[in-house]
Amino acid sequence: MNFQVIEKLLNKYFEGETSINEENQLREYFNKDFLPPHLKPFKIHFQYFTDAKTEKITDPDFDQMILNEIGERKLFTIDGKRKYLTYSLIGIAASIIIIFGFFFKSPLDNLDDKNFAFANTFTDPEKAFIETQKILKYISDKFNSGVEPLNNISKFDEGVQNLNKMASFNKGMKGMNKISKFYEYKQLISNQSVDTIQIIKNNKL
Amino acid sequence: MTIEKFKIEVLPIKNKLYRLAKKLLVSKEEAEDTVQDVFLRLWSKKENLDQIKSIEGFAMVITKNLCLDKLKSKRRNTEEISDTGLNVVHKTPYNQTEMVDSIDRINEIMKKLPEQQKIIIHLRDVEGYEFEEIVEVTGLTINTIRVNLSRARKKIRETVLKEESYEFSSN
Repeated sequence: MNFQVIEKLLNKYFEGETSINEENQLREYFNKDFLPPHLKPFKIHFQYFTDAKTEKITDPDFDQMILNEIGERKLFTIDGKRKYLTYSLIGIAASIIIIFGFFFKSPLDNLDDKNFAFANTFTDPEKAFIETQKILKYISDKFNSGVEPLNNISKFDEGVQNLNKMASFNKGMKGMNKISKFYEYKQLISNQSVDTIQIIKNNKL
Repeated sequence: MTIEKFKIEVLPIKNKLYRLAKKLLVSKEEAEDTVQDVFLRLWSKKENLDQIKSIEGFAMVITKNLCLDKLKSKRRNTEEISDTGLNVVHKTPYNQTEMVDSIDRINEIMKKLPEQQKIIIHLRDVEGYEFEEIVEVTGLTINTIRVNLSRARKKIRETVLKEESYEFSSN
């Protein structure tokens, strides 16, 4: 093929107007080893795309991996359906139990005082009183032993009392206020001296 | 569609899907992961696969969309880190000819093209797709495709010619 035809095709190619067939002609032409110098740079252009087409997935296990995954997926969907079924069954069972709960009273409600687990076990009120006192004493003993470590809190109070000494520091601070009076007078004096200097200057003029 | 049929009719397009994914994602591993993902998605639609006119076109659309999604989320996560030039170019013995530099340079230019142009020039100049097929994958009009294809091709021409003039001047 003469290179003028190729030049025309090449221009068409860069405008995006060549057909697949024409592009194949170009590719074929530029695959040659000997090219006119002005066309040589384009060899690499077509070479690039030809090379790019040879790129492949190199992992030899790729197909098998996909097929395995697909196989697992199939199982998974069956499993998924089963799971769905069990969950819904559990839900239905739970709601039946709840509904029944509303209609049937608990057997505990029907027990009177005599049959109840914590019903009176003493017949003599005196004995019952002593027994109760014993139990309450036992509880208060245990409770007190727990409270003892809290006594240390009073030490904190002592520490806080020391802070009262801060009050005398305050008194000292009040004395310092007198310094500001000193400052006031100082300014008064210096202002007056400026005034006098002004007056002297004016007099000289 | 049965697994057998899937294996014979769908799996063989893996390399085409891989090349498109790699063009967009650059990383080999990410491209392979994406292709795997595409196949699983195709399989999940196995009941309807037989009715699809071109499974390859359909698979290419899924591949393109997955890649663009990945690029989007990547961009959101690592704004500018990707452009620090950390891409290591693996050279095979085949590549060690005088052409290596130029091929690498074209590669760099390709990477910088807008995604749309990348997809179009890849489908046309690497895979040899007809314009109608590119329409199917990209959803663009033929005219837009032509314009973008022309821009991408000219961009590469620019690099190729620049290089040539550089070689002339240095000789």
